[in-house]
Amino acid sequence: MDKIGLQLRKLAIEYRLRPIRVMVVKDYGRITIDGAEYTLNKGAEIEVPRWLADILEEMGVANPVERGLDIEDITRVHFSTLNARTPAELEPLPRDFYMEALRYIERLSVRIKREFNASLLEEQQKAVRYLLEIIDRRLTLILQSIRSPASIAEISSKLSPEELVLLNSLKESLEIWQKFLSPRLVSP
Amino acid sequence: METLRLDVEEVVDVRERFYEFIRSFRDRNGNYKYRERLRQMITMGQRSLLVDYNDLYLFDTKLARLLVEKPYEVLRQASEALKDVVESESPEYVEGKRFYVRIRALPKITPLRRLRGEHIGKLVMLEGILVRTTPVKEKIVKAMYMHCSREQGCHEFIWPPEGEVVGDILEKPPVCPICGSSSGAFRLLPEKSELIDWQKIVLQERPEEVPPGQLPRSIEVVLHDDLVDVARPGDRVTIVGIVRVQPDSLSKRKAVYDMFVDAIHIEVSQKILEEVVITREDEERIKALARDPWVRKKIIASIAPAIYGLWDIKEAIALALFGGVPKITPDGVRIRGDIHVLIVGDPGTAKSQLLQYAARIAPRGIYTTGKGATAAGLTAAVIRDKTTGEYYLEAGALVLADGGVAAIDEIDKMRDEDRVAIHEAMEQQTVSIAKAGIIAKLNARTTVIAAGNPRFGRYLTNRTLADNINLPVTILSRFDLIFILKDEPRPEEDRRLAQHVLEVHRESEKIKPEIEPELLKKYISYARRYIRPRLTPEAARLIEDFYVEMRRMSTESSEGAITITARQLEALIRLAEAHAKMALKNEVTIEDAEAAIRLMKTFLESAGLDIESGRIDIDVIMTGKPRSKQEKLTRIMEIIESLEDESPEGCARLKEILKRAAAEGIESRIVEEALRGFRRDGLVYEKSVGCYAVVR
Repeated sequence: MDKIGLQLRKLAIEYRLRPIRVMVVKDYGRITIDGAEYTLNKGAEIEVPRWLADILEEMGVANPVERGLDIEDITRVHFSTLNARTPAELEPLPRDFYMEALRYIERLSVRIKREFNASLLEEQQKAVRYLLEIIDRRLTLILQSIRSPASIAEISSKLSPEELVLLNSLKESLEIWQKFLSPRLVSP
Repeated sequence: METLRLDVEEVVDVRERFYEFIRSFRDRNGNYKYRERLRQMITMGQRSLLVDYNDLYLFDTKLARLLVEKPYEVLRQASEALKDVVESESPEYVEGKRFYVRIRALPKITPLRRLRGEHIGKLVMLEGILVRTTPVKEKIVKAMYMHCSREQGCHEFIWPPEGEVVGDILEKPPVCPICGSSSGAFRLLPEKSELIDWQKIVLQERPEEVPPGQLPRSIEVVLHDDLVDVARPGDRVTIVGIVRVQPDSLSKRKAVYDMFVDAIHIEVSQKILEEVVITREDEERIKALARDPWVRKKIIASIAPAIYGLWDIKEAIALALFGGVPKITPDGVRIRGDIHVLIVGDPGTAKSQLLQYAARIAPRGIYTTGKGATAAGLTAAVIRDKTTGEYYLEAGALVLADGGVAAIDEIDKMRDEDRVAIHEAMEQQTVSIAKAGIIAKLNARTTVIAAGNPRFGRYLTNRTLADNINLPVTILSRFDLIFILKDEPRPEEDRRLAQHVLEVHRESEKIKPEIEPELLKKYISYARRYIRPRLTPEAARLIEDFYVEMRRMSTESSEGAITITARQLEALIRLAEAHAKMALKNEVTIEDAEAAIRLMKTFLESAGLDIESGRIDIDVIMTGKPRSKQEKLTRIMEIIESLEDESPEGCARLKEILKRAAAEGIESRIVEEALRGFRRDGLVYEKSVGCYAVVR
């Protein structure tokens, strides 16, 4: 896998390893994973890595305490992103926006397969459309800013980790490219 | 039917799309959300349909964007669409009514400070504090005119024609729509015209958003019809409206315009402290901090770390920032949760710095000084607009800090008439006003942290608290905790203080708070918003025992001094709750009750000490005089009465009074002081030189 692909993969793994709080809804006793011990007593609120939270949720043992991202959040981001005409007007994304959005769309797909609901299908189509439009607009602004160091400084604080990976990679490539094509003068 | 051109390729039929939206939009549960809201609207006899912007955005992104860009036209057609739907649902309800589509929750809040020309004519959402309101007035939307001419006689007509309404200025029709003549007289008939309620308010930036050293910005907002009187001064509101301009009334330069907002929707912020944004990451950090067993110590140590020592006062300030739990009894009585703290101290004991720091980290903190504040500035004022002559009700500092903290420095320097204004705010937590025909009651659920200097420059330990500070006992008794800061030389302590101050100056970066002020502010806000600790039976028992024990001590002392009253009992509960809140606990445990008792004892032992008997006497604070002194005063009065009866002159000679008092162990200094006090209060008068009689 190339460098940018590896960095994105690393971000995805970090997201899956990040702890979240879950509410245990069924007594399950003690489990030990990777040396870490978890006591799953009904009614307890514990912190587990996201990947484990997903498994526990699938098993019907625990539910995440925090509400995940949904169409309302994507809509809000879509509105503000599409309003931004310059890098200065761009707003930072909520934490883990891309990962959460992908996860939300994936979950919708599962539900659609299971319950065949037209409004869910519509919701999913909208979420996909909005996400692609958000990516497209933010990408345009990143590309706009890449040519000036001042713009890069302006925009980098507003980018998500995934976007920063892209920005840094583009910056590096551009530097190599410029260096290669710049005339080399021999000092007298 | 009118259409709006969105761009070259696409044309949106706004009225039809809105009609479709109201009839067919389904929420995530598959319910027809707006059909249901519409039915509810009809049932309740309302005329406004509340639309969530997000729903419209999901239904038709282009239409939602068009609404932001061209709100007037879109909303006009949306209202027509609403009328169409109402007509299909309940035809008899439509008759002669005006319907409105009210948009709420735009995805973006425009900061008041950033309102610019680019926003004119656009739909925006603003947040701020409502600081002024005018009384409700009536505005003509459809004028009834009578046109009289020689040729045609008199006839009445409505102006402007169907589909239009009167704007900001009522213009006379150029020609009569009935006879087509422009000659003759046009007379407006106001009582036959169609009028709607109208009110102007002023929205001001929230204090926490104002950049340091700048004045808060404000903007006028016009409310129509069912939006009037929705909010009152001091309320934190969110307004969705259209930015418009009006001629700058102060300057005569016609090319200069003022911005104002024509409100579409107004919402009073229900949850206090909503304005401190707590992200998910913040929440994680807050919860992690709360898990630390030393969290309370860290919080106290983070309050003004540059100030050496003063642990008890810093703890009291921390508890005041978190506050207890306000309660509303079933009969509607509100018991305050706010903890008021007073610091009385010698000059140069860092009182002001503590107060400023407290106001900075409090979620709604306002700092003011006694000299710089008036009664109206603290509570509310009725002011007259210079240009329009209208009366406005303007909220003061305590109302603006509703739900937060008001730090009042130099409280002793305040004029008496200004100071009494805070009586009501401190206990009832409201501000009532009745001026210039405006009668109102505003919320002022504000924690007061005040500081003042002793009356004689330095705190005199041989005098009582009430003697030492220029504050009436009515205010003193309202403070839950009073601390006395005495600047006394103590070699060891002084060396440590000097070392600390020198370090602050030498390596200021070393004096870092344990918790960053920004995070601490969020932590406090989170605790005030979500944590409602309840007293455990054990903690309640401990507080009860302490109270009963202190009261029992009163009965045992020879003077019968009251050590504690129900007011301090309530304060104890608040302090214990605040202590639990500090660690984000949902239960008030014995540990919290103990901490509250310890702090209360410190307070009583310093501020509530009867300097004559050396015992704790709450009357020192509640009445300004310890019980021992009160009894002496009563005795002196009795001596005067008996001497007056015995003497043929009908008055008591000073020499005699002093003699009898001395026989009962009352010093002459106290007798003279008592006589001065009795004369000042009109209880006793000097019948002849050196001879006193009781006023009957």
